[in-house]
Amino acid sequence: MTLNKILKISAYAGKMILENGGETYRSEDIVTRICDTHGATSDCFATLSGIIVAVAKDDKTLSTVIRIKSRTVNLEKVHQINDLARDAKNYNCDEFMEKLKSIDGTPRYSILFNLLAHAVTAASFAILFGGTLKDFWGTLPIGAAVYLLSYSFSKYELNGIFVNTLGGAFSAFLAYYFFSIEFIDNIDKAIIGSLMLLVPGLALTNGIRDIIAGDYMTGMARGTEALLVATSLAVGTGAAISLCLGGKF
Amino acid sequence: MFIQILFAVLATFGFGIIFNIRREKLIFSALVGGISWGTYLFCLELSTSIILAYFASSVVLTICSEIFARLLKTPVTSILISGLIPLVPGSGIYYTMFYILEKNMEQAIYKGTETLFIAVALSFGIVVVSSLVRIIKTGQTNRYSRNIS
Repeated sequence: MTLNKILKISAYAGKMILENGGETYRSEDIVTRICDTHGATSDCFATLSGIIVAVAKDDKTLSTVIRIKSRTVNLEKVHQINDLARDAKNYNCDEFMEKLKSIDGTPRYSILFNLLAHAVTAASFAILFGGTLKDFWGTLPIGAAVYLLSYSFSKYELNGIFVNTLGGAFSAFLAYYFFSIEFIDNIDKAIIGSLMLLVPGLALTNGIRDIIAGDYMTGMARGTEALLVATSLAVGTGAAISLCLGGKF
Repeated sequence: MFIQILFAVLATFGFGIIFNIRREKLIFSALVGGISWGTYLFCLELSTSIILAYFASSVVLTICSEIFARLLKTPVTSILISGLIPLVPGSGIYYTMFYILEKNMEQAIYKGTETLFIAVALSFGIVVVSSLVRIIKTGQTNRYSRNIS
């Protein structure tokens, strides 16, 4: 069990936690925990966009930097890695790596299931914001359409701002169209309900949580992300609404 | 109010699927979302302060998720995050940006500060409870915070 292998598995686990929506402190905790069970002291610095790990054992120190490019929320993976790190002592390094790789391959829910979830969530938010039952049925297809849009663009790894602007504009257009054929009662409830799928409220709240916990870098990064996403959404819907109100469509 | 809670549960359940939460955790997180939204509505009936209502509901939410997370042996995040979804001020950020683009600065500042206060109240509630939990678990000091030196 060389030091290099310990470094590799611990950094990989930390990276996976960050990529799948875990908190930075959890990733740091797991890295030190894994190194500890293998008898090495370690230090870790995790931010949203990268992770730096240093491991030391018997007069020897190694370190690595891993850049994190894409982030999604996949809490099942976080749960499994957390479980794995807790009984890390039952595996040697190679087995641990195998386990991590197999966790990395766990599938998401199917597209159809996701489509349904997006539709129902958007429609439920339309009700929570004070919409009528008619809005609920009207927002169902808008939520599904927003998911289809973001799913079809996810293959190209485009800039998030572009996709969000498009999503905002798309949902506003659909809401106006549905209003004009009297499919929904309130345009704004339908728009904001479907936008809840894209909107970064969670990022803002988590950012402030990080700042209170003393993790200023991550907190600022999350806050900036939230502002940027909100701006792109507002640009998209704003453009669509002004086009619709101008009577061009 | 009952219908509202039902739809909050539905919304949380949907987000649980989007966040890829599995099996019994999904049901518990949906339940927690319903509880937190119920607390929020209940507090709005009692007092006029929105911020207080958000704070109280995030405290209740975090207590419930800590309990359920211990029962299910899972990280607190996997229940807390999706339970937080109904409370999260997503619409506030959106409206703030929208007013700024409309050059309606008065409304933008009003909405913006309100959103910020809500976010602070929510995260403060979470931090308070998780700090208290850490105090209660005395003896289990974090032995992994040892540094290289």
